[in-house]
Amino acid sequence: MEPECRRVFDDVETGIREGRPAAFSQHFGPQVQIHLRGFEGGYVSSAQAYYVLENFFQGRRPVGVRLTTFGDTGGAPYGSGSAVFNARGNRESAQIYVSLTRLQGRWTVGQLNIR
Amino acid sequence: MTDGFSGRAASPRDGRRIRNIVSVSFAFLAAVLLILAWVGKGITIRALEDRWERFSAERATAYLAAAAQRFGAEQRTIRILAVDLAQSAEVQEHLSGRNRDTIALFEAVARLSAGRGVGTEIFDRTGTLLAWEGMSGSEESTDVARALKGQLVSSVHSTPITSQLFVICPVTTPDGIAGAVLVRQTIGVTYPLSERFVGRRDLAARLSEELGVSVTFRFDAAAAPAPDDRSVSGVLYGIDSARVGSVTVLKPAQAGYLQSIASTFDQVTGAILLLLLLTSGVLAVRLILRASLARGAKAAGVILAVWGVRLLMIWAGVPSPTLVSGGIFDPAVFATTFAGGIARSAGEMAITGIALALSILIPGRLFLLRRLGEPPLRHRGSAAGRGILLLAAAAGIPLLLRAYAAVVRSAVFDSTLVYNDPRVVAPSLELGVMMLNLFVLSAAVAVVCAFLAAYVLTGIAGGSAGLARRLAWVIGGAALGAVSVLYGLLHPSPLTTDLERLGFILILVVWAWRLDRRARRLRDLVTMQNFLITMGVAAALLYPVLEGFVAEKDKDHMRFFAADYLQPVDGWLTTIVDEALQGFVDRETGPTLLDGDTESVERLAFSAWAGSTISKEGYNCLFLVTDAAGAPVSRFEIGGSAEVPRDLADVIATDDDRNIQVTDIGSGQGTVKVYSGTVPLRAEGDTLVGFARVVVSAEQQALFRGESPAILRGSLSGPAGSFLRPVIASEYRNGRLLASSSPLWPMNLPVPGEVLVAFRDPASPAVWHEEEIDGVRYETLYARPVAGSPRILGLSVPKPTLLVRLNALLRYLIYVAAIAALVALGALAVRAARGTPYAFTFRDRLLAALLATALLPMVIIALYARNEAAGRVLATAADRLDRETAAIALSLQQGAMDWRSGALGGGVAEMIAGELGTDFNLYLGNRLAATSRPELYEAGILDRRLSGAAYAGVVQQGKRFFVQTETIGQYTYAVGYRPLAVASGGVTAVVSVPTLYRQDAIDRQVAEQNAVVFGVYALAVLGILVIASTFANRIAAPIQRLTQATRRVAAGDLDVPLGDVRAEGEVGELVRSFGSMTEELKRSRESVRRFERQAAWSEMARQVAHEIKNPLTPMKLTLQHLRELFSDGAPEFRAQFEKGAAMIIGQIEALSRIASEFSSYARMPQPRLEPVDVNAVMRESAHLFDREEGISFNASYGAELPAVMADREGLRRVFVNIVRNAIQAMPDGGTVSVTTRKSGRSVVVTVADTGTGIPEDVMPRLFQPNFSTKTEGMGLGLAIVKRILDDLDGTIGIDSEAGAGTTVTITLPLP
Repeated sequence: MEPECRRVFDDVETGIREGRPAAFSQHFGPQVQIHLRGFEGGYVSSAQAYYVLENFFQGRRPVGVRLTTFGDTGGAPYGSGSAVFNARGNRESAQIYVSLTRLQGRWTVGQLNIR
Repeated sequence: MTDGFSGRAASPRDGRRIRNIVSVSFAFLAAVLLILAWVGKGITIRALEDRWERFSAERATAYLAAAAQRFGAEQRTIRILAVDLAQSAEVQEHLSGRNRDTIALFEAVARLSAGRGVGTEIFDRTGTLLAWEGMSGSEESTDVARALKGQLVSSVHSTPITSQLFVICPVTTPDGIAGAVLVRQTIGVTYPLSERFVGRRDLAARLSEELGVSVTFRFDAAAAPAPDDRSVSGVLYGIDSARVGSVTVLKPAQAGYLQSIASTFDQVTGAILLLLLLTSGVLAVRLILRASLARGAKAAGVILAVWGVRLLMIWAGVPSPTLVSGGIFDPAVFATTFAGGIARSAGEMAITGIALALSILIPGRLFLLRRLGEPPLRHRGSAAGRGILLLAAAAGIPLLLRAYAAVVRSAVFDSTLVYNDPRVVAPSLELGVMMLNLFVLSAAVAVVCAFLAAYVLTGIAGGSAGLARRLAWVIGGAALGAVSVLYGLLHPSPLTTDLERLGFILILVVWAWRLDRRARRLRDLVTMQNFLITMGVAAALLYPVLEGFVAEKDKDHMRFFAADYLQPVDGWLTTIVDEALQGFVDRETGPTLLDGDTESVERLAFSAWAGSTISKEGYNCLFLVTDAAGAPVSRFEIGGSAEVPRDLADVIATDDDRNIQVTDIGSGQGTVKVYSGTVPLRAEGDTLVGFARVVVSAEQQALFRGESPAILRGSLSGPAGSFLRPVIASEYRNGRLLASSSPLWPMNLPVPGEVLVAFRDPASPAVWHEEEIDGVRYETLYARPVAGSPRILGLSVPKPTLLVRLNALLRYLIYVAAIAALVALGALAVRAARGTPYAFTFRDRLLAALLATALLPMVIIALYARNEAAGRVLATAADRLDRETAAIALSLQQGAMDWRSGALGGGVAEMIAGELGTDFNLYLGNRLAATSRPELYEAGILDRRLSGAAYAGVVQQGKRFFVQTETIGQYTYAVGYRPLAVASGGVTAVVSVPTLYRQDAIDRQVAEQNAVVFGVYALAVLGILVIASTFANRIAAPIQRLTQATRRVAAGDLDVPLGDVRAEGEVGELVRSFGSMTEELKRSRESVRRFERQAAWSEMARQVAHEIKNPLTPMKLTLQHLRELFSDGAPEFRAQFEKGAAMIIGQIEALSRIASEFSSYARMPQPRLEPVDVNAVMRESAHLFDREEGISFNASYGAELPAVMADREGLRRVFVNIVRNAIQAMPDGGTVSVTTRKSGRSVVVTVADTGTGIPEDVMPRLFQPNFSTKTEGMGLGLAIVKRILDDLDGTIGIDSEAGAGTTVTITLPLP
């Protein structure tokens, strides 16, 4: 996997672990397909994705996050893993899936699933 | 407010003081509450932490009681319905044998249980089912038998999928118990279907949400679990006091509960903080405006205060997303990161808009008030300086337009709102707020650009007039257009087209020309006409820009959609298959497989699918559970064709670990990629009890996501669902169509030659192309995964027709009209609140009457036409169902299948459905025997029993075709029924065709029909508006002219031309009579004037002669006396000379004063109007007299008194005159009281004295020239005062009481 892709995945993992979308929002493409627990999902702009994630993390404090599987089939890198959140005192497990898209010479987050 | 004079309380000041005290008190209270909330949060959380164990047990017990109570309430509701049914006349008559009409019984049951979401059954005294309505359930024969013995029975029956609460009530007739009524309701659903389909039937989920704690019900004979550290449990009883199950409530988790308490406090704190910020902001602005500061400083202060509050709101996170979550504050609706979050949602953008408006309007008012009477555009400075300014202004328009377009683009691209949905008539709140935001922004940009254009063009035209001026404007307009085009050429991304900019500039030039011609003063700009023009220009500006970006986003969206489907999905599909396998493990499938009952085991595959992402996304898949030997025990499959599952089964037969495999099934063009995985299932002791296997088909998902019905998806979203127009996905291989989601696209359709040519360029991944298929024009995006790939994806959307575009325009105009009406209503409300309500004119009332008369019947007709149009679509759907049921019936009757025995398997039914292109169900008796969609029945959301109404219609009444709408949750769809087999004993089999899978298409068709109806009527409404407005103008014009003429006559202007007023009938007669009357008045007035002039001259001559004569006599006597003394050589001559000369000089000065006074009166200077601070002028005037002996002043000056337009010197003269009169009226001393205040649209000044008062007979002559009660002066003072005030459109009134004093009241109008 390209180092640049790895860096994006690292930023995403760090951002989710810290509940801080600002840590990886710079990697969002102009439109991001985003699916979160409690959010119906679909294509949103990078700005929307930032605030949607911010609201998401306000209701869920990350306890543990790890991207464990990475792939690069057909030039579409992806990473998947799991996360545990504290949602109003209840522990919630979620699966994470992130896929990247090459856009204007750089790797951007095209899809982000946390559910 | 008091000044140097001794103050006394005046009521306006009291009002202001009270308002200030209330505001400060409110802010103080809010601050105290804020501190209390913060402190309270800490104390509460600390207290809860200290006694958590006891508290959590108490809370859990309370929740338990609430849950049990709610369960009881559900039972009571169902019981009431059961009793009502049992006591209904139809049930009583039928069961007592008085009326055996079964159809009437079916109808009664349907009527009485309609809309309740329950299943209802009527049994006779032998326990035979007679009639039913709604969902069925398990056979409750034992419970029915108990009810038939007179017992009220209540119980819950659970399956692995659902739990049903039911009540059985005996039907008692005079002859005894004649039968029973059973009512059942689903209270538990164990899989995550969209709420759209299940409604809110899961009681445990509802209670968990309401109470904020996990609540679970168990409906079995087992004893309630004993309380432990984590939960408390209680027994649930039925109405008959029998035990029906238990309820368990988890004790609140400490961290979560405390977090929710803290969150509640935070919400309260946020609300208080918001109020505190707003109150502080209002107070700050008021203080700044009242302070003795320069205008610039005030303006800066207001801007700082407004934006300070706004930024503090953002910093403090109010309005908090938790306080007002969703809706207009939902970032998923709209959000932009611009400027640190001032528009992070539609609601935040609206708040920022209000802040922006306040920070422009308040300072603007401060500055503009000074110039209200001046021309709106005035050019100052040197020619060079002006030239630079003009150039900057000309360049400012395209720059401003680009900034504006960037905001509109963000509103489109940073939102999920659909701005041009033809199916929507009334916008949602979110869309309405965004449209309002955009429209207000457009209006602001239009006004600023119009001023810039007017500034530039009037600057270019200079002082020219006539043709030269017109020519200058044309040249200037052309120059503005050229600058805008040049800007487009120079800027890499101008965001607007040349045509859009040129069109806008043309509108601006025409508008600016109109303003230049009509607006002589700044106040002329604030008119209703200009408001409407601004609205129109804003609409014209916004529409093309918005439409352009919406179209661009649609195309962008298509590109993302194509990229999404073309990119390799191995990673994603591997992940979700893995997740589904983990789901089997998490659900403890192994133990169930080992110990569960048959039904539970059979449902394992479906339950695992229902909880997986695969179901949410709608992938075609197979879920399989086998025993340890590999024999299937539970299987759920969705969306596959007959061939694929067989291949998939071959694949999975070899898998026995958790590894995911990717396999190509088939060959050549028909190759399908599948993702499969297996997980071993283990029970206690790690014993292998079986395997769970999941298989997902990738290619099928890409093109035929619709195969998985929306009804079975946990989520309704999907890329295709985001498109406004239906998207047709087609896959081409080697230049020929391989598969398409639309049956209208012919197989082997070639890829258009232009597309293939374009694809020769390796850098071209996607190409747009227009084509016509089956008479419909489509816009298709052809895309390929990599250059040279034989696989091409085609995404086609129907091209918008002219009607659709017209519809969009009309809908947009309706939005504009609604926003304009909203703004106008707001303005009316503000005026009413300020005590100056808008007076509706005759034209307004006439227009309202005409519109009401025309629109009321039109609305009724439109509603009728809308229903008719929807009815026609539904009738067409019913016709289709008729034909399809007939075809199915024919196919079954002519086929070789043995359907009569109920042996028609799901696979056979699916095959027949595939051949005929429609799904169907087969009922034998009233039970489902076969279906082409077994998954729907597996899910338990479709009933396996024939609908009661269909049974009554087809079986009982023998109808050849019966259609009805059926509902699941909030989802309504049509079903057609047809008898299949008619034996001598009646109908034995029924075939039904549901529109479940294509109901969305039918709904879309109905919505489109409605949109067409709406479009036609909206056009008619616009026509009516134009016609009614024209008629109202024509009819009201003579009346308006007459009203204006009356006002002018009342003001003394009798030269009112009415010759051009065209009016017939009574109004014409009125106009002519009015003309004659004014002519007669003119003649009379001329006679009076002549007489008055004559009298005035006589009086003036007499007065002048008298006044001059008075000093002349002593002068003459003095001179004669001096001459005698001189002649006599008297020694005292020198002394007498000095004395006499002084006397003569004094008399000459008196003559000079007399001459000056006459001169002043005769030659009053032209007033120079400017904004004047009345308080300041009055203070200066009063201070001239503050050393008068025996006189004390008492002053009360109104706070924040607006400036009046007046001649400062003239006003000073008025005040000095009045104050002097007051002092002179108190020779023995007294008090002069001065007050100023605002009253409506005027400033009122009163000057009161405690003097002798004015005799009543003198009052009428006070303002006559040369009238005076004093011994000195010409008596012109009050006449001059009156004349100055008349010039200012002001008034003066005198109220006096002899011996008590006099009060002079002056009223000055506000601009």
